[in-house]
Amino acid sequence: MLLTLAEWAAYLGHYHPVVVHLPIGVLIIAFILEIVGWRSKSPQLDPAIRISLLVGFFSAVIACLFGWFLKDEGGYPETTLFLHQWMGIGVALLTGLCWLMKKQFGRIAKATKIYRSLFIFLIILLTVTGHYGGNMTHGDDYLTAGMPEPVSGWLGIQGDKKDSAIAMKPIEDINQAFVYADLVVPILSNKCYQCHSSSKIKGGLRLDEERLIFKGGKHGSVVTAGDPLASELIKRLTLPMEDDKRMPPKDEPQLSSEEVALLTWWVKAGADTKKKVVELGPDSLAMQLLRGFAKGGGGQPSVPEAMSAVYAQAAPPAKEADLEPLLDLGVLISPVAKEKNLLELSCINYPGFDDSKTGLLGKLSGQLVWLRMDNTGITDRSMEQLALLKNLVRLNLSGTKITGAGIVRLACLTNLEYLNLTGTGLDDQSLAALSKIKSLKNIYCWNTSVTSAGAAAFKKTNPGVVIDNGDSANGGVVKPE
Amino acid sequence: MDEIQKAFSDRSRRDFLRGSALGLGSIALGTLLGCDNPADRIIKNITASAAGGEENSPLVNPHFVPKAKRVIYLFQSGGPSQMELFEYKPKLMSMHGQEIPASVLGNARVSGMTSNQNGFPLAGPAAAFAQHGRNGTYMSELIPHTAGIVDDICIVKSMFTEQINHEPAVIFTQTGNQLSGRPSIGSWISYGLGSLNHNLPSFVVMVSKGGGDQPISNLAWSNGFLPSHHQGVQFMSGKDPVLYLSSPDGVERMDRRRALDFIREFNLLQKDKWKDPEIDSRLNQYEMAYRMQMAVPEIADLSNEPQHILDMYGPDVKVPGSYAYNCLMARRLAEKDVRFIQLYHLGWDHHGGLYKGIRRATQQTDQASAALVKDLKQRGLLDDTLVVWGGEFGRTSFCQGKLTQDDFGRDHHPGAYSIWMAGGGVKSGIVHGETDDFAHNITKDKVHVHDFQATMLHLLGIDHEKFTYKSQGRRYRLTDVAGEVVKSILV
Repeated sequence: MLLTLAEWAAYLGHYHPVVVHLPIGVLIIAFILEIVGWRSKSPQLDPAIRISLLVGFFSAVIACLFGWFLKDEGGYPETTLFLHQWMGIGVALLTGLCWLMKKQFGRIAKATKIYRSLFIFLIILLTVTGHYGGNMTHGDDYLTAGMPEPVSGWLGIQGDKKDSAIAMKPIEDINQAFVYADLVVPILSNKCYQCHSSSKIKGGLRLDEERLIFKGGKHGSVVTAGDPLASELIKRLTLPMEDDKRMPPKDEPQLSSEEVALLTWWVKAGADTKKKVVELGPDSLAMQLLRGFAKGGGGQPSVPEAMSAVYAQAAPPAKEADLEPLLDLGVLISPVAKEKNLLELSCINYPGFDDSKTGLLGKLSGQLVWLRMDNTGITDRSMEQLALLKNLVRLNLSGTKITGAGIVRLACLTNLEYLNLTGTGLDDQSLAALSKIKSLKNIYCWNTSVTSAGAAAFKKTNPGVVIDNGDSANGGVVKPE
Repeated sequence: MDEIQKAFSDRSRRDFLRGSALGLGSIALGTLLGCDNPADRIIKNITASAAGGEENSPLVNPHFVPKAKRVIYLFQSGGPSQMELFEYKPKLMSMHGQEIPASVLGNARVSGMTSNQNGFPLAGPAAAFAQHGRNGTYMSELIPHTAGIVDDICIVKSMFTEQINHEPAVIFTQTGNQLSGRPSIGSWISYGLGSLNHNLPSFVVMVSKGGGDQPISNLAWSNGFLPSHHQGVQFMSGKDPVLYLSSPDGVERMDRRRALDFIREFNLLQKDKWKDPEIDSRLNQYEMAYRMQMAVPEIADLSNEPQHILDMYGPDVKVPGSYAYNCLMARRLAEKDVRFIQLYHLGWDHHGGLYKGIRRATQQTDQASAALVKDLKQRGLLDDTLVVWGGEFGRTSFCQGKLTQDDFGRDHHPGAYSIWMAGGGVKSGIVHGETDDFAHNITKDKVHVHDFQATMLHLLGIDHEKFTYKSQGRRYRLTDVAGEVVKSILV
């Protein structure tokens, strides 16, 4: 299978970013040698400099050639490309000139002065050319994005450019939001502008202006108002990941399914760029989707408001050294949800857990939110340690030997919502002490010595809590056998 | 080709397996098949490679913080009649014996069992209704215990399905597709969320005895294309809840251990040669069976249940294999954090003799179902356990066969039926959906089987649209390409 000339060119073009590093490296080493030779006033290094310049020249010519091939593929911002291209050619020519001068007039003092000035200029030109090239490949905010505050302040660079582009304005009333400006643009700027805007125009398509979206790209229009299935924009978003035409390409950040659904709805509703949500008359399905975008939710299923604030916290990941000893005991530890570091711990496979082990839990206080220690061997002596687990939302101590004296220590767990104390030494007094936990939603005290009066008193101080002391039909406490 | 290559390049796993073949005794199940660093070990309860490599690596943990951690699905097989249980329809009663209005019947096809009838006379309910609970919900006299927990449950009266015959309808409800071969809900959940207890399977099935003679196919708890250790493990009634679990006389536990270790070495050789991920499943199952030898007899030993608890479940509770017994077992399994507990009760298929038949079915199930909810509640387990009560379809408001003075039958009706749910993040004491005066057509808030499945997954912290498994080139979902979470019943 023979490749045509054009195919070879396109293939080799991709090697431009690889090949360019050769002249860069070689020329810099030549420059260093030149400085060393200059300082030591010895011609000893001259042969090395000459050969470096020669190699630099040829590799620069090859890099230019490959760059020319790559340019044919298109998609690069014109101004930057123009500068990069001619400066690159300049570098090659200048290198050739330097080599020639070094070879011919190396001993003449005046020529040496001109030669050295040219060499310094060459290195500056090389740096600038390389910088433009890098900008075209990685985007012009590649170096400044994520720059630490002190550095950016010192350099006078304003803030994190990327962040300002991503932030989706919080939408208070979804009905009054502008579909294009408030919903579509943030998605496009977040996931598409990187390759389809003024800084990079892949496939000849720009999505950063209304006019240009409808103008389409090299292969024609990308949006057919009212018909998502005929719109290349939507089609590309939904192709299988392996497909070459899939957008965003495989390794780039992808749109969420909600974002794709939103764009689809927008195109279907006529791809209007001026109207508000309410004017496009979304049906109930679309409304459900749109509401997900309100309040900056980005359409993602978020933690419902009714859920504890603990779940929204960004806990650091648990340290392996802290997990290891617990796992070795046979305790089960699992993540509460994806992409959160919060953990659930269950002693169901290790009922032998006792007071000597509770110290191990303290190191996970940042991550532990659910804890199942029912029917283990722990006693009041463990309560001091448990009281340190501030993020606990659910705690099950059912069937343990703890007594009222230990239970009162739990009153400082201010995030606790679920507390299971069935079959423990809980009594009216210790129950009353737990009324300090304002976050409580359910407390279970079946099979304890809590009386109906005690439960009623608790209910009075904490009306929002469901207190379950067993079969309510029997009007209160069910005594153990 | 791609997947085969992936299997062959799965070197690290293979090397690890080879390493672990050196007689590790009672090694934890997870360590058998995973890497050994803690980050992996906290999720190690999810094991075994699946065909297709990374694409099909298990979900491992929920997409978002779940409300429910386990499910008890009380499947009432045969199609319980909504008219005799939940749907109070005075008009249906007053029109008893009259032909069903054509506007109600519509064009919907009826089953082959009634299509040749000369007429479709309406049949009034064979039970009286009364109001219960703080919202005054009408409940049938046949389910007094369920009526007693009406404030703890959410009744959905607007369920509908696509299937009119038992087998496809059961399979549809359990796997999301009417043809058998897809994984059941329990298998999906076992695969996706893994086990919360290493000593018990994450998906347990119990079929109660004494319901009816209509069989239930074990395809309803099949793992489909998922690794086979995710299939439902059926607990039988009697001395041996799991068949062939106990060692034969004269075989001691350490002998069993040695035998298993030896078999494992053989299996690992085979795995090395063939790279079949099902060998992982087999290894898994052997280890699980070994640990179950200890854990299951403990679960099945009811001797430590106090009398007042046994009384709650009703007189049948002492009969192994009865629905009541299985409900108590379900609670005991839920206490031990088994993810998905599936009960099947047969005997709801009342084509004729409905008056007596439905009394028999409710007598067998009502008290224990309610007791289970109450028992879970007082133990603080209902909060994160989703209990579901429901069948595969409803029954017709018109009569099948002859409408006599005191008896009649009802045919299958996929267009509307009732189920209830409790706990696990579902609102309590509410009714969702409405039907017309004959409980024949849904008039408000339709809930398709896929919507119900999507809702169940949602409660478990799973986004049903993102939870897929690639098999034979296609990514499959439990909810196929449909399903919407019924948000209005969520807490």
